[in-house]
This record gives sequence, C-alpha cells and structure tokens, in this order.
Amino acid sequence: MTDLRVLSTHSTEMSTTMKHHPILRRTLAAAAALAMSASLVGCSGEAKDATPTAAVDQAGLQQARDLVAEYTSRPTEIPNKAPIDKPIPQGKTITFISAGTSTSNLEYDIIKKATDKLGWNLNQIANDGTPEKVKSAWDQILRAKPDGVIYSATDRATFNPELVEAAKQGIKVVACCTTDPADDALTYVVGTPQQSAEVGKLMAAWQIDQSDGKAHTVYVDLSAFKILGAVHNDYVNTMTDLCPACATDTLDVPITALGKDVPDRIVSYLRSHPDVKYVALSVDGALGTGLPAALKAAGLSDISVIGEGPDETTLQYISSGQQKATVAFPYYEEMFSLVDALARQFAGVPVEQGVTIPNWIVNADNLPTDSEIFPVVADGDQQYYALWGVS
Amino acid sequence: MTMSVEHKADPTPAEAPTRHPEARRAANRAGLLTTLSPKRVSALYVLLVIIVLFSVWVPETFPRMATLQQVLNGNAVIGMAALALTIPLSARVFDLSFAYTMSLAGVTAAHFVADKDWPLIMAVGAALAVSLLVGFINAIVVVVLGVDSLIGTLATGSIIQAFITFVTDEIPITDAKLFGGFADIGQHTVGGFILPVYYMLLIAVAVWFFLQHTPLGRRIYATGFNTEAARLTGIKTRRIQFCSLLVSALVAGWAGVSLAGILGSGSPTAGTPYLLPAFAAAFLGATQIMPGRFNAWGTLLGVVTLGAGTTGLALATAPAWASNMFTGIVLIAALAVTTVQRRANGTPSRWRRLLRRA
Repeated sequence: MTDLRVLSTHSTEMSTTMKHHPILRRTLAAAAALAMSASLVGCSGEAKDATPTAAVDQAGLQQARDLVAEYTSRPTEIPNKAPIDKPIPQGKTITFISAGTSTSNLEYDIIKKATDKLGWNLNQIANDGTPEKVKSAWDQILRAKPDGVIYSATDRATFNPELVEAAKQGIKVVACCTTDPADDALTYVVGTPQQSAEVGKLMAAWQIDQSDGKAHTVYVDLSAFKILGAVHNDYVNTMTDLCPACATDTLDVPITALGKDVPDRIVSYLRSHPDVKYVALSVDGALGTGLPAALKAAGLSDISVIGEGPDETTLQYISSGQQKATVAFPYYEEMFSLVDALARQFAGVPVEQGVTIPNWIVNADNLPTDSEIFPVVADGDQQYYALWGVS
Repeated sequence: MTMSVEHKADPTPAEAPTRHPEARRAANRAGLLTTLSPKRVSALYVLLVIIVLFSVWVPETFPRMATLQQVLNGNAVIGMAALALTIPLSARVFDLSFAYTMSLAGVTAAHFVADKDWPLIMAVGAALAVSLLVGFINAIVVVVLGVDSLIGTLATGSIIQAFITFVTDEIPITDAKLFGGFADIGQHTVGGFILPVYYMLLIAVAVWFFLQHTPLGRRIYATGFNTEAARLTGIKTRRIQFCSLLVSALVAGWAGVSLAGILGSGSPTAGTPYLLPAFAAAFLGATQIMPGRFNAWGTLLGVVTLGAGTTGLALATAPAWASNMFTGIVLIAALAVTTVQRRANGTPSRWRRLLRRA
C-alpha cells in the first residue's frame, strides 16, 4: 500500500507539476517543432555524394599530372604582350577605389608602383564596401574628375549611373575581379570569370595527381561570390572529365560563417564523410584560416588541403606543411594589367582584351616566401616597364 | 531584459527535522523538479532533444566522443567571449568592444612574438596589459564620462579597430615562430580537448564563484537589478561598473590570445565575428539555471546547446542556411519559454482567467 501511495503521490505531483508547469508542454512542443524543422532541413540537404564506380582513367590521370607539372613551374609570361608604340602621357591622375581590406591595400601598393613609374598621380578613396559608401565614392570621383579609375571586386549595378556619367566625362574606368563585362563605360576588365576558371581545373588536377586518380574530394564553395562560380564549374568538370574513379562533393558555406565556424563546418563534413580525404578551398584565407588546428583537434591528420588566393596565414600553413598547396592569386599581374589598359587608352592604342592570366600552383617545395604575397611572374614588373618603354 | 529574482518557499531548517521522512522525500522530489523545471533549464531539454534527434539521424557520427570534443573545441572561444560579457551585463553595462579587444590582444601577442622576439610569457602579458588598458578606457568613457555603455563601448571598439588597421595595414601577423608555444596556447590538446576548453571551464568556475558566492558578486547583481536602489543602500555602483569593464576586457584579451593561438597568426579582424554569437550565448544563458540573471553555467549551457545543434546539422550535411536558422529558433524558443513562464507566474492572462472560470 505504501508503495502504491508513493506512486500515487508521485503521480499526483507529476500531474501537479505538469499543471503548474505548462511550460514543460510548451518546451516539448517547441522541441517537436525543432525536430520537424531539422527533419525538413535534412530533406532539403544540398550535399550530393558521387560514389565512384569506374576504374582509374590512366589517360586522364596522366593529363592531370601534366597539368600539375606545367603549373608548378613558375610562370614567366605576363598577361599583356604587345609593346605600346606611342608615347604614354605623363601627369595623369588615377583614382583607386579601395574596400579598406588588406587585399585592397596590397592592390593599391602594386598600382602605386606602376603609376609612379609612368609619372602618374594615384589617389585612393577608401570605403567599407557597402552600397552607400561605394556610391559616395563614385560621387566623389564625378566631382574630382580624374583621368582614370581603377576598382576591384564590386558589382557594377551599385553605381552604374555614375559609371555611365564618368564615361561621358571622358574618365577611363578599368576593373578587376568582377563578373561585369567590359563595354564603352567600363573599358577593361581583368580577372573575369572566364579568366579565373582555370584555377578550378588546377585544384582538381592536383588532387587527381595526389590521389593517383582515386580522390574523394569536397569543394568548399562560397556561392555568394558569383565570380567563384566559374572556378567551381571548372573544378567539377575537370574531375568528371579526367577522373571517373573520383568522387566529388560540394560544401557551400554562407558568408555569415566566415571568420567564425568555417573550420568546424569542414570538420563536421569530413567526419560525416570519412572517405573524403581531399579538400579544395574556393578562397584560401577566408575558408582556410584555423582549419589546420581544427583538423588536428579532430584527429583528422590525413586530410590534404589545396586552396586558391592565399593570404599570409595560408603561406605559413604551406611553409609549415599544414596545408599542401595553393594556387597563387596573380595580384601583381592583374593590377599591372589594369594600369597597362589605362596607359594604352591614354596613348591611343588598342587595349588588349581577354588576356591570359598566369596561374601557379605553389607548395612547400616551390614557395618563394612565406612572409608576404608575391608576384606570380618573378620579373613581371620589369616586363611591363619594357612594354611601356620606361626604365 | 527584466532581471527579477524568484524565490521558492523552502522550509526553514527548524521545520525540516520535524517533517515526516516521506514528506521530506516529497519535498526533495519537488525541489529536484523545480531545479529541472523547463523554466530554469529549457536549453537542457533542447540539448537532450538535439542529442536524441541527431543520434537517430546520423547514428554513425553524432553519438561519439569526437562530437563532444568537436562541440567544445569549436565553441571554446565563443564560450570565453560570452563569459567575458557576463560580469558587465550583470552590472547593467554593455561591452560591445570586447570583440575588438580580442583582435587587439591576438595581434599584440603575435606581434611581440613574431616581430620582436619577445618570450611568449612577456608577449601574452603585454597583450593582457593592452586589454586591461582598453577596459580602463571603456570604464573612463562609460563610468566617469557617463556615456551610455552601448554607445561608448561601440565607439571605443571602432577606435580599437582603427588602431589595429593603422598598425597592421589589415595584414595578418604571421611567422614560423607562431607555430611553437604560441600555437600551443590554442592548439595543444589534453584528453582530446584543446586548451581553450579548459580555459573556458576555469573562467566559468571563477565567474560562478565570484558572482554566486562572494558579497561583491551579490552587489554586482544588485547594481544590475536596480542601480539607483543599490547606490542608495550604500553599494559603490560606479566602482562596480568600472571594475566589471576591466574584468570583461581582461577575459576578452585572453580569449583573443587563445584565438590567435588557434589560428597560428594575429588576424586584425579575428574577434569581430564573435560579437553577436557571444551576446546571443550570454543572453540565452541568462534564461537558464538562474533565470533573470546572467550566470556562468547558464552561459555555458547556451554555448553548448547552440554548438551541439550546429554541429549536428553540419554532421547531417544540412544546407548552409540551417545553422543560422537553428540558432535563431533556439534563441527565440528559450527566451519565449522563460517569458511565458514568467507571465504564467505573474498576472494571469485574460485567456487563462477565462479558462479558470470555465
């Protein structure tokens, strides 16, 4: 009877608790909603595994190895080839629109080196990349009326009216690293999606080579950056074409995860896909910082990482063997090419459109320095000076 | 947020011995139920649901020791950052500059190790000294000059970031020297957990003991509940708020040094992404364990719950947006549960009165 009473008391208490704790019911309801949300999330999962069934394609593997052999040698040719056979006017004023990032600072320094050589004045308008500040920078340009404008990685839609107005005023505008094509207002673009696509091919070739044609890979994408779409496509296409025995998957990372939990997301992916041993990063610095430590803490010591567009931290990772390789971003060559385009317009000679961008796979063996971003073409600046006829 | 303290009518020590053993057991059960009430630990129930859900969903990866390690390793810095906020928030002071202090401390320590060849201990000491200086400036701005803490610390944070940019040109400080003892601060593992996990736990114990078991801790809460009333009772509220900003900066500085160790570099913007997650964890923590009070264990429970959910989603290869959605849902759910419960304990709603009449 005592036991029954206790049970009865307990039951009554529980009932009372439930009555006095309606929140318990709400919590359970919230938990159920959470579970349903999670289930929905699971149903709409984007990851797509490709399980390889084919044998290693020896011809494809050899092709990949040839690509790696070619592109691990340091390029020697700059994008532009034709000398400017007319005098380049001096005293021009150029404005560079900076996003205030370390990349922008590097780009400014490179452009300054080139414009100094040509006897031009370089100004900088810094902004934080927000549409309002970008428009404000263009308003300032329309008031200042420089001879030329250089900008990087900004969507033209934000300032198209100002760009058209600048063209009407005779201001020559050139840009890097944008999906917007060149036209009468934007007279030259370098680092187009077509020019950047080869990077994806090289990352895929590296992984095919390293795995002897049997790589299980994940491509970590930042799909919010449209310009990276071409790199992703070339990566997937190369894997498909050259490596039927490879399996490739894509892990899309939102911008909001940058600097926060990207390494954790990659580790989670690798834990849930233990066959995947090769990681390709669509942007080295943004996606790879902190990744070696996260892999180490998770005991994932057999993961091979390649990326593109290294920052100084990535170079240290490669130097110390924590990252296998990267495809160096040709900052120097692209910035010099922009100045070259302005020089040609000021000199009255045709601009070379659709140039070939030099790419270089860098690993611990051929890394020229781990302390700063370096030119892809060692004497690229001298080659440009020769084209421009300056010493 | 309203910071009310709710007391249960516990039996006095004089009454307790006279009770029948069965009644005592019943009282103990009631006490346990109160302790485990969803009002106090709703995040714990969410965490349990997460564990069960993902153990069923991804049984091959989630219910593993490696997941626990990943959750704690991946969220130790957020935990430290959130704990840095606990004391100033308890004293009703916001410190929005903590994320920038993290960046500054990491850059400072990396700079002295990589560029000046300072011994590690001196470099870390310098980073913490710089962090304390930031806390001191914050305290001057907020307490002495009387600038609203939300605005004042936002402004100092902006100045700190400008200073970092001025010194580093936004370029991370890197060097092979940073992969030795410096990296060990953030990367060395003990029992599968990186050292920052242990730092986080130590800081949590310190914050818990300080806030719950010292007179000064109670004065901090009193200052946070009603600053003017606390001042009138003789509590030196300005001094408490001043010191809370110093503590916040010091803990943030240590979190920044740990983060730099994890990254193996002094990144000029490393701390900034932690601004919102740390506040989210701190506010979620204030609804847990001791609802209405910012507290250490509640904060850690919040960090672990959010971390377990996002890790589970990642292990289940959920889409990129799922993590943010999960965090938002959990925050709203936890805060709503507490708010609804508080209303239920207070004035009955019209709907509830109608039900009672029926």
